Amino acid sequence: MEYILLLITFCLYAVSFAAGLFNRRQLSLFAAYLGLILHLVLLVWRSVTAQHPPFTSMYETLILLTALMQLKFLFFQRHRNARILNVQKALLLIFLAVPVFLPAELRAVHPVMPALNNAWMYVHVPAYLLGYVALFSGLIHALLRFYPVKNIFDYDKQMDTDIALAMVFMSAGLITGAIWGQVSWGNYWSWDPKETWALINILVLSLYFHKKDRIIQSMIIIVTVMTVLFTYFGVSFLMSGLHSY
Amino acid sequence: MVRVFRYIYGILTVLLVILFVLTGLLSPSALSSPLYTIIYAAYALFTLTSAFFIPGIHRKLLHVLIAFLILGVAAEKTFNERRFISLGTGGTYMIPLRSDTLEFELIAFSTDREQAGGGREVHYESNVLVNRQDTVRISVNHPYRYGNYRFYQSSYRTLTAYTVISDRDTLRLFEGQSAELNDLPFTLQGFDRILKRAAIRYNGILIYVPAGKRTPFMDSELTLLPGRSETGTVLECVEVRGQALLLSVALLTLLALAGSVFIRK
Repeated sequence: MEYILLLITFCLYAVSFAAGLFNRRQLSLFAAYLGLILHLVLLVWRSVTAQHPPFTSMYETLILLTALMQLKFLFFQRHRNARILNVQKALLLIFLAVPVFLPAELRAVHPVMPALNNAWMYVHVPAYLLGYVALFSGLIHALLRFYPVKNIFDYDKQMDTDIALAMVFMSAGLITGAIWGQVSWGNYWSWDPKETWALINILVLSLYFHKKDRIIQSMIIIVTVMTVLFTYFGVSFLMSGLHSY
Repeated sequence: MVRVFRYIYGILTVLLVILFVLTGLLSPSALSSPLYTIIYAAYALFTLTSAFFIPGIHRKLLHVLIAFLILGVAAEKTFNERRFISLGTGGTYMIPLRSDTLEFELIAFSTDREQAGGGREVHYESNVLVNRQDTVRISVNHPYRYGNYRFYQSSYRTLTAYTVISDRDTLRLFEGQSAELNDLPFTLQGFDRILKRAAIRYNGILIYVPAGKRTPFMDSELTLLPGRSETGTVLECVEVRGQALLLSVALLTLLALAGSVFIRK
């Protein structure tokens, strides 16, 4: 049932994207809102089934991340420009495709691992998810810098705000993760691959604030997103460590 | 001048990122080596210094954040000293601390596994008798606190039980355990699986006893026989120094960060 919900949500977002490409705004918006409702139902369903919030595996964090992205796009960053809307929907589809195609074993409900059974998980993980939402939101403006829309400069302030929020939340995630490690394992930093790459993300993103050239800033955002994607997926699948779950 | 600092910061940051990436992939253990610690300290010092020259309060605070983060990761070993202790069920382990010695006896180790799927563990804990007085339960996220020391449930592993036979006594021990043999203090410090011999501290004297052979010592003969394996617990003993300082720096850094991005010129 959960997987069916996920598939229907994915299909609705795909319909929204396709309708947007063919300039069917009303249909696109309707499909997006309906998809979001089902997406939220999916999150609640998963939380009730697993008996914990959707924070503990890649599958759970991805469906939560995409829901947060859609909430931001629909309610906190309403755009009229068709190209921006299409890029938003494409990004959402790409991220939601990952949980759709994950093997059943990785989608299955597992009890929370002993290491994750801590109150700090409810601060550390959401902080990072909010940071990623802001970063991917900034990515859209960065990509459009190379494929510009009319009045691209009107969106500069939005890009600055998104990246500033990304910096705040990702740093908060890093620091709360260190506090969690100190409290639970007496070890606030162990050069775990995930920790090292999280630090790399912060360092790369910090360069954004030292450049005034918008093209260079956009390139910095794109590089940061690449390092974040490696942190999120590459480290989990290719490297072993404390965060391998 | 400002432009020079900005360029240097950019170049140093890119170099540090490349260093992290390459070392993390090729030799992760080098990231905590003394040479790298010097590099981190130098970078943090430059970042902090440049905060004085770069305009804009938000950029200054951002530099402070980055400097604190890098100094923090460089100084982890200064604040936390750690070692691992493997315990098998029964027997006594003497754990030397800075100004004290703790006596641990593992009463029981238990692990719960999920019923379906890969059968991974969902919970494991150790019940330990401390100083022959207090029974404590140590599990993941619930360490045992003793002064500045914390004992964390780290993991578990297979331990081999050894039988030590003398003319008057027989002991069953794991590596690292202590007991009394013939009324004298006896510690099985370790077993060398290549040379097939045990390092034993008996009455304060270090001796090596080959497995399965009678070894004369003092007025007795010792025989050591490796026995069956069983699951033992692994605890991590951490001496935490300056915890309040660490937490304060972390929270101040976070505030500096929030200030750096929300304060506008």
